[in-house]
Order: sequence, then C-alpha cells, then structure tokens
Amino acid sequence: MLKSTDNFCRQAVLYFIFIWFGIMVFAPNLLVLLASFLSRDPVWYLRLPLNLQNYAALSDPQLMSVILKSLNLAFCTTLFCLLIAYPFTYFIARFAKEYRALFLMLIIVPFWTNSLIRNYALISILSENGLLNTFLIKWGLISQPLKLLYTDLAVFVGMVYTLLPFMILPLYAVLEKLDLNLLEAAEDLGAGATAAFFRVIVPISLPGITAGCIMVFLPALTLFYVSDILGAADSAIVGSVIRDQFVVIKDWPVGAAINIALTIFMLFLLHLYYKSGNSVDQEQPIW
Amino acid sequence: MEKLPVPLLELKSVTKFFGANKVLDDVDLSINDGEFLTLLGPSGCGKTTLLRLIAGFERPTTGKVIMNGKEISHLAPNRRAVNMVFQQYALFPHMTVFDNVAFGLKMKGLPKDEIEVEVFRALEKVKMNMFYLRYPSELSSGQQQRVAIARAFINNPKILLLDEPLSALDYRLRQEMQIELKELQRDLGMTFVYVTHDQEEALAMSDRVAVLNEGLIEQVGTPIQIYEEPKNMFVAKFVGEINVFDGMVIKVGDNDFETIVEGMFYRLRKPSTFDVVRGSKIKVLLRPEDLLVSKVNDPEAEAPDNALRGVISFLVYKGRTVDLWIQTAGGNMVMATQFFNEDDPDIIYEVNDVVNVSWIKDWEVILPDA
Repeated sequence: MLKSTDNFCRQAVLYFIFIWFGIMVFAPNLLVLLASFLSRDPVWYLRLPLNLQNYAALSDPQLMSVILKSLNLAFCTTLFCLLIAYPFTYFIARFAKEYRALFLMLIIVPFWTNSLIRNYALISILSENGLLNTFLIKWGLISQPLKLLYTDLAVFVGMVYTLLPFMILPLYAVLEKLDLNLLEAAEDLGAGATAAFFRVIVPISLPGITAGCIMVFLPALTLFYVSDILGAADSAIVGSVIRDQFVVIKDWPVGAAINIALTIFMLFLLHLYYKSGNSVDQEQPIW
Repeated sequence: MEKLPVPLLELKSVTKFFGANKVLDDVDLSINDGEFLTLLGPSGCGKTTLLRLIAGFERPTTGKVIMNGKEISHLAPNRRAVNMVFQQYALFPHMTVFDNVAFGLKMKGLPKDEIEVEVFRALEKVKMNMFYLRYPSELSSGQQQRVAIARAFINNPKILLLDEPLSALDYRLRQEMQIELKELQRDLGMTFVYVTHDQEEALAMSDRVAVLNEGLIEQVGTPIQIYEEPKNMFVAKFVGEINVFDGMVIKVGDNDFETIVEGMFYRLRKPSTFDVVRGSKIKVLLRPEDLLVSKVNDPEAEAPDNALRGVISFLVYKGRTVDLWIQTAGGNMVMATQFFNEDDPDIIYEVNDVVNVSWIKDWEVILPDA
C-alpha cells in the first residue's frame, strides 16, 4: 500500500516537472523557433507564409561584426571573472564557517538592488568628473580626466561587475567541499604548490569552473542594458541587436532567427564541453 | 658485542604548541631502519601531530627532526623521503587507481613506461591490479585503503607513515589488513611508523610501541615489554586490562620484600625499576589472564597462603575464555580471565561461587604509588 502511494508521489513529481518544463522552457522556445520561420507583419508582427529568409539576415556583415565583438566581450568577461573569482572564492572557502557565511551574504546583498540601478551607479564612478577620475587626479596619477564612460571598457567593467557573483557562487560550491587532505597528499607525493594546484585543485573544481563560465558567458552575450547604459553607440552586443529587432525595428522573425542561431551556438559549446569532460564527470556536476 | 642499530630518524626534545596548547612536550624518539614502530595513545595524545611532524606538515616549535644525521625539521613535505597513508585515504577523486598510484612517480619525472611497470608492481602487492581503471568512488573502503597504501610505498620512502589507516574498516577486514600490512612491511623491508589508538592493533603488528599520553612518551618498548612490564600506571591501564591492588611495604630484604595486599601477607620479588622503601605504599598489578581462580568447596575453610577469597559477581562467556568479575573480601572488584581446560571439563563457573584468587609468583608488576 505504502509503496503504491510512494510511487504515485514520485510519478506526480515527475509529471509536475515535465509540465513545468513544457510551459516554461519548451513552449516559449518553440514559439521563438516558429517565429523565426514566419514572415514580418507591420500590425500583427508575425504572419504566414513560412520562409527561411530570416536566417539570411545572419549573413549581414554588420551583424556579423557585432556578433564577433560580442563574443569577444563575453569571452573576456568570463575569463576576467574567473581570474578574479577563483582566488577570491578559494580564500573565502578556507575561512572559518561563520566568516564564510558573512562573505557569501556580502556577495548576495547587491542582488537585492536591481542590476539596472547598480549599472547606473557605475556611471557616477566612471564619468569624466566621477569618483575614479577625481581620485586619480587627486593622487596625481593623471592630470586630465580619462575618457572611461561610454567606451567598450566601461561595458566590460559593467559586465564583470554584474556577472561576478554568478562565477563566485558555483565556484564556492565546489571549493568549499575541497578536501584539504588532498592537498597534503599531493604535497606528500612530491608535488610543489603549482603542481598541486593544477593537477589536483583545478581538476576537482572543474565542474564549478564550467558552471560559472556558462553562467557568465551566456548573459555576457545578451545583457543589452549594460552596453546601453555604459557603452558608446557602437558598443552594441548581440543582445542589443535582438532587442532592437523586436522592440525598435519590430522585425520579430529576424530577431527570433538571431536568437535561435545564438541558442544553437550555445548548445554547440555545451556539447563540446560534455565531449571533452568525460573524465571529470566522475564527480557529480553541481548543476 | 651487540651492535647498536643506527637510528634512521631521531626526534630530539621536540615540543609543539598549537596556540597556547602544548601538544607535544619535549619528545625524544629514535626510529630504527626497517622497524615497525607504532605510536599508541588515546585521542588527543599528540600521536598524529608527531606523525605530521615527521611528514613535514607541521614544524616543531622547539627541537629537531633528524633523518640519517641531517636535520630536516624545516624541510617541506615534498622534499622529504617519507610518504604518508592518510586516515581518510585522501585519494584523488578525479584520477583512476592507476593515476593515483602513479602520481608520486610522475612528480619525480620518471619515464612513462617505467612508471607503468612500477605502478602495476605496486598494485599487485596490494592485490589491486585488476582495478587500475576504476575511480576511487567505485571502490570499497578496503580497496581504497589498499590503493592509498600502494600510492605511498611506490615512492620507495625511507619511512612510510600510516595514520590510523584501519580505523574506517570493519572488524573482520581490520584483522585481515593487520596481517597483510605486517607482511607487506616485511616484504618491502621498509620502516613503518604507524599511529593507532587500538592497543590490540599495536601489539599485534609492531616491532616496537611508543605509548603517548598528553604529549609525553610514557614508554617505548617491544609489545611484550609494554604489556608485561609497563613502566607506569598509564601504560599499564591503557594497554590491555589490568587489576591494581594497593600494597604496603612492611619489610625489605635483599632480593624480595614483604607486603600486605588486601589484608593478606605476601613476599614478592623486588622490582628493578625503583627502590622499595619500608613503610611506603606500592601498587601490585596483575593481568586478568595471570590470575588463577579455583573454586572453594568449603567456604568456612580459611584461604590458603597467597590467595584472596572472593565471590563471583558476574561473568562473561567469550567462547575460548570466560571473564570473571570477582568481589574480594577486601571489597575490590577483580577481573580474571580463565581459559577452558579440555582436560578439566568440570570447571563451570557460576555467579555467587566462592573462589580463591592467586597468581603465579613473580608475574606481578610492582609500581610505586604515585
């Protein structure tokens, strides 16, 4: 008797998950996919007939250069986030438990403020008479204010600032569990600090590194408001282009086509990761 | 003339503080080449710290660690010719058994084909060569243990350090591994320094045992010395069961002395370890298996010389032996272990039996009353 109710509950949960995925993930993406094959309509946005024209827009050299630039930005953002987050998280994870909780709290607190507003706050730091320039001049490091705001650099800073927690949290999840005995074992077996780091710590934290990179790289391609607020006119990223297609130009099919192309590219990257990562999947991935 | 063994490793007045906490107190210890030395003591006695000092994970606050005549106190672990088997094995979870065992040789930069030969040779010694492609998570704890041991000894260290390596295994496996470890040690001809809180393990495996308590070495000796000639009350009580009787010295002769124990008069051999002084208090120590118990048929009759009268208050049947707890006339509880004698099958003890308790002369241990 108990077993059948148990079974029923399991079934119910499974169905719930399937339905949830269906409504929240599958259906919307299917709609976008469908839209990418429809034609543009000035009033209803979408209409028949089906066609492949929208994907031809992808070959537009201007769009291509935006995509490449955007990929470059996303790549740099991810790399930089990783380089900052890794040592930071490693040391946090070594602190006593109560301090760790505090540090994590401090990382999460900014989430309570809308990231749009936090990016606006960056303006007051990066602008010509903003905090950074004021201090640099005061300390005599520069005599003329630097042009920081409305540059690609500002977009990069905004991206790193916005996305850093998404790198820290998955890294923390693996580094917190790192068994320090493994480091001692490596050292005992003749490994110096560098060898122990690259042969033991990094491979073991690889699931966290990958999760963090995915969680930073994807948004870094599409967080258009960061480039809108902090960037120059030509700082547009893929996200901005898609946004413009939908909201400004109102060409939904082309916007959908670019979006689908981006999704396929992501899936391709994930596929590459899983193919290369067979040996590290021994430890359960954390996502 | 007997040649003194040259110590492979020496600890010279090593003291270790963690903050204000003194973990090791002026420890002197020599480890001989090729021996199986066990550091035995209760948890928190400093035995693991001592092991970690030898491995290089800790530095002595004062004192020296000397190997082959050279001081290595401040040498990093990766520069010492010692390897460690960790209590929780600490196998690398992202590496196969092969890669785990090969790690040390890879760090040394040995050529690949040589590493392969060595790894399989090591795995064969611990009977794990079939499992070389497995990951640690796919092994039982006993198998992980074997891999951890192979990973350490493959580097051919001067000393192999083992930190309670059997504590995570169940009783049966532990017994098997004790024998295998001892055989492995003989086979490799390697010096083993073994940490445990299990006195049975220590006695079964070691050439010598160092008993530690609160950062001090209480006694170093062969298992027989430790068990039969404990130097002090701590060693006597920590290693095995022991009965302690209070005695008062009433007369001291040339080779023996007279004392009163439990109201009975005894003439005992003078101990070699300290001077017995007339009128002083002493402790008379006896192992349960050294006590002789005989049933008394007539409780009215007086106990013979050198025997204590008592009543069995409870007993534990253990198959080969029976443990008797005997309440003596003097009010003490005495534990006696009796072996079943095939020739004398009618010895069946029961609670409330009146018995005489005696012991074979000279088997007692005399300690001063501290």
